[in-house]
Formats: sequence, C-alpha cells, structure tokens
Amino acid sequence: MQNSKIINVDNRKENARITASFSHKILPFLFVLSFLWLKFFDELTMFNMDATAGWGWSSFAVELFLYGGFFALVNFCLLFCYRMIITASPHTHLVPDVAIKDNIMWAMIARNLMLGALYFLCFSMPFLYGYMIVADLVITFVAFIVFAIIIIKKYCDVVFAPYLFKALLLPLIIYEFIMVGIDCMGYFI
Amino acid sequence: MRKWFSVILTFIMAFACWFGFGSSSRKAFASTVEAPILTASIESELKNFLQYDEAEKTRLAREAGSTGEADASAYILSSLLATPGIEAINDGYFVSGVQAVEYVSSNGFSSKSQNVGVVIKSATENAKTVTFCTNIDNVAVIEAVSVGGEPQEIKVFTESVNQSAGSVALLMALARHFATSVIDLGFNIEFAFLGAGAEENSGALALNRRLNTDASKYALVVCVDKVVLGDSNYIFMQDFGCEYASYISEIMVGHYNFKNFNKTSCLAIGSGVNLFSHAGVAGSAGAFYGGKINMLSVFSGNYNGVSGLGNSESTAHKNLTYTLYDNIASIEGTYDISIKTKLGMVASALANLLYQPDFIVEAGKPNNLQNAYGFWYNEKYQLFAYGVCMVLVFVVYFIVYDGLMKKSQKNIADGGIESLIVNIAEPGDPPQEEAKMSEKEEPPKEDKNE
Repeated sequence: MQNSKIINVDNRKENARITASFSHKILPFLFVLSFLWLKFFDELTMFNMDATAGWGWSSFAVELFLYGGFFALVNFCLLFCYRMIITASPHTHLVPDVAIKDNIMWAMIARNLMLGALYFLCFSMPFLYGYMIVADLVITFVAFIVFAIIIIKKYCDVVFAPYLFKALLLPLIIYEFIMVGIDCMGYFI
Repeated sequence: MRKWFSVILTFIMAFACWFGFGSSSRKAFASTVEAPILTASIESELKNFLQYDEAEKTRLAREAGSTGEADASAYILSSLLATPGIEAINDGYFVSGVQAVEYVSSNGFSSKSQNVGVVIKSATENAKTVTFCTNIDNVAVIEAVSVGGEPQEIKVFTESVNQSAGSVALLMALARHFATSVIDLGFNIEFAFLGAGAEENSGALALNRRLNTDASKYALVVCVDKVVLGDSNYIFMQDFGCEYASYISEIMVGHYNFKNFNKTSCLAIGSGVNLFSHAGVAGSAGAFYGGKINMLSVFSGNYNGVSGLGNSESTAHKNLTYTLYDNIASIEGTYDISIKTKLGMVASALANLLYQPDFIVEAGKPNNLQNAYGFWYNEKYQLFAYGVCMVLVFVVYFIVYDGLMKKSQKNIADGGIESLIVNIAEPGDPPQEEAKMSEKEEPPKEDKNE
C-alpha cells in the first residue's frame, strides 16, 4: 500500500485570532510611523539644503508627514502586489494569509527602524550616504529572510518548507534584480 | 585631618590636570586685529559699493551677465588698484585683473560674465598663495503687480546685502588692510570677485580651472558667502578629517562666534560640480569642494533646532536673503542687526587666521582626499557594490533554500513518504475536527501517516 502523508490545513481560526489581536489593529499605524522614521534623515537634510527658500507654506513636521506618508503608501501598494504575486504559488495557501500580511509588515517595520537608524551615521560620516543603497538592499533582504523563516517555522510542514521559502522570497529577488538593472541602466544611459 | 588633606590634594590634582592637559595646546588668536579696526572700513566699503548716498545706483541690479554686474566688477577692480600694494592679476587666465567667464545660462542662452582678481604679493621667493573669493552678482526678486487690472510679474532688485554685497565689502576691506599692513606675511594673498554665481557658480568654476593649472602654488581658497545674517558664523572644509581642517578649526572655532559645520551633512548626490554637494558649500565654495586645493567655506546662519542645522538665517525667523528686505535699511532698522559689527567679526577672524605664525605651513598641508572623495562619491563604485551585494544576496537565498530542501528530502526519505495529500479548508467549509485548535495550541497543521 502506498505510504501517503495527509496534511489538513484549516487557517480560519488562526486568521480570526490574528485579526482580533491588538497588534494587528495597530500595525498600519506603526507601518506609516516607521516610514516617517525612515525618511526623517532625508527630509531633515533636504529641508536644510533648501533653507533659504523652504516650501514656505508648510512646517518641517508637515513635510515629513507628506514625504513619509507618500513612501508608506507606495510601499503599501508594493506589498499588495507582492501578496497578489505569491498567491500564484499553491504553497502559500498552506499559511494563514493574515499571518503573511502581518508578518511582512512587521518585517518592513523592522527594516525601516534599522535603516532609519543607520542614516543617522551620515551626520558624522556624510560620505556613507552614497552607499546606503547597499545597506537598504542587505537589510531588506535579511528582513524578508527572517520573515520567511518565521512563517515556515510557525505554520509550514518541513516537507513544504523549501517551496514556501521560494514562493515568499522570489518576488523580492526579482524586484531587486529589476531595481539594480534600472540603476545600472540609468548610469550607463 | 588626613581626610581634608586628601580632599585638597584631589582638587589640586584636578586643577593641575585641567591646566596641564585639558587646555588647548595651541594659543588661538594672537589677536593682532581687533574687530573695530576693520569695522569702519567695511561700512564705507559697503556703502561705496552700493552707491548708498548716490541718486543713480548702477550696481543695484547686478544680475549674472548684466551691465550692472560688469559695472560692479569694474568698480571693485579700479577701487582696489588705487590702493598701493594691490596689483591686478595677470596670467593666462586673468588679463589686467579680469577673467572672462562664458557660460550657458539657466534659460539656455550662451552668456558672458567676468571675474576680477587682485593680488598682494609677498617678497618671499616662490611664495604660496591664499585666495579669497566671493560672488558679486545678485538675483532679482519677482514681485506680482497689477498693471491696468492685469496681473504681471516684475523683477525688482534690492541691495542684496547678505546675498553678495556684504561679502564683497568684507573682502575689499580685508584686501586694503593687508595691502597697507607693513608686515610681509610670507605668502601672496589673492582676492577674486566672481561673476555669475547664480548661474551654477560659473565664475567660481572658471577660477577653479585657473587655480588647478598649478595647484601646488595655492595653499588655501577661502570662500566667503552670506555672512551678514545669522547669529553664528560657520566654517566648513571637508567631510573627511585632515590636518589643515583640524588646524583651522582649532584657530577659528570658539572665537568671533565661529562654529564648525562638519556635523551637519546635507548631501545631494547627483547635483553640484563634482556630482555631490554639501550645505556647507552652498555658495561659491561648491566649485572647490573635494578638490586638490584646500578649501575653507565661511558663512553665517542660525541653529534653529533640528529643522535648521546652521544654514538657516537670523533671529528674524524668516529668511531675508533673496527678498526685498535684504538691504541695509531693513536689516539694521527692522531687524536691528549691525551689519558692520557682524562683518567686522568675520573679517577679524579671517585676518587673525592669516596672522598665525605657522598659518601658511599648516593651512597648505595637502589634504590628500581626492581618492577618498573619488571612491565615496563615485556612482560607478556604488553601483558595483550594489550589484555585488545583489549577487551575494542571491547566493544566501540559494544556501538557505538548499538547506531547507535537504531537510525536506530527508524527512520524506525517513518517513518513506510516496505521496502527499493536502486538504485546505475554504472559508465556507464546515469546521474540521482534526484542524480545530485553541489559541494556545500549535498552528494549523495536522500530519497523518497512513
């Protein structure tokens, strides 16, 4: 007789539990705040560069909220695309979709906090600024790997782990390759 | 008694350490020039330059490439050459003190401007040169007016005291001061008054090309820009530490309201002459930033909390530069700022820097930063690092993936599994007994081996 492994997946309760939790409710606010933190250095220094004129009609705080908020919105759309793409893989259906959504946002928050703090090094070592693009790539990738491993450990059978890992990481890898390609093309053109 | 003795001894030791090791090793400022000496001459220089008491003001509108700018240049040159000891620069670039500057203006037209330069020569053979420079042009303020009920925009020019006139007056007073001084400092002092500053520092770039034909001759370029307004005076030299920058900081910072601007970086990669810029070199100094010749940028500003890092202006809580309020009457009357006192302080600080006995040796020490700037601001290197990191990231991805795959295959082999059946509950499905779980239980996975 054939030896089959049957896995029954019912994510409904887990989805309901996460949705009802406090952390799920405050997550969007933290997500936006983390982008304000990430853009703080850029906004601060750009504001300073334009100190003779400024925007005139706004304050620093308003500019920061607009700038950070805009980036949060863009990334929110990117995350939406990401979740839509990973749905194409059947292995991602083994995991509660709310858990994926929340954990990816936590990963982005952690990445923003770390990267935002790194930007402050540029106050004493301004020449680092040009290489922050590399830090961005590395930290984003590390955040995604940690996110994928947490999801795998928590929700996925070890048999499916590599397939789920591939499904979760490949969109990011493709995205980063495109970004590097665009940057290189921008330089050569 | 022993307790008291030890307390007193501790205090004595503390004072000894403080005086012996805590104080600066260099006695900053011999104070050979006091501010009031230069103050009076600066005031008259400013008023003469601005034709303050004259009815017809030909130098008020001195836009880049305009006749007003040419007139201002001619006035500066003729006025300075009337002072004994000041000579017009004459080399391949400057002809009788005038350097022609050609540039493409912001509206796309080819335009012409000029720099004027004078030198106070030292009798020392092969003497090094210190160059002072500032922009002389100004920018019009655009005012909206109604002409016959039709809204129109007109260009209005003001004295532009902070924008350029103040710095011009300061350098003219300094030039005369050094020319009339009986002391030969052992180095040449050049004064360059630059045109077309508002046109991406075209004048400063032209001067930079001249200086770099024989960079070894030049010890330091001092760029003075917008020094009238602001509670503090700032100096900025390099992003990276180097000997000459430490020397000048040690001499200037803490005196005459001077502060260092090195903690507040405001980089804008992709703009500026060398594809990078810094708020500390917002004026003509931008042309010399990151170059072989040592550069000192001098400007004034206010520290207004985190949103103003020193580049903002004045206690007036608004920026007066590039507005109609940038004139003597408004600055001194409305905002109660003494222009001559402020400029006198900056001039005295610069003069005293040059009077330091070891100035030319220390300030002329090569900065050797071209490679550092070349590396850190090179877009090609940045992209290369980015690309290499991308490849590394992919390798890391593959290593983790490979590890998980091996584990998965081992699990399949150990369990002798030949097929996998996955039942995923849909939102409308009835609850499955085996999939039921409380919040504290394991996440939703159930394994069954048949």
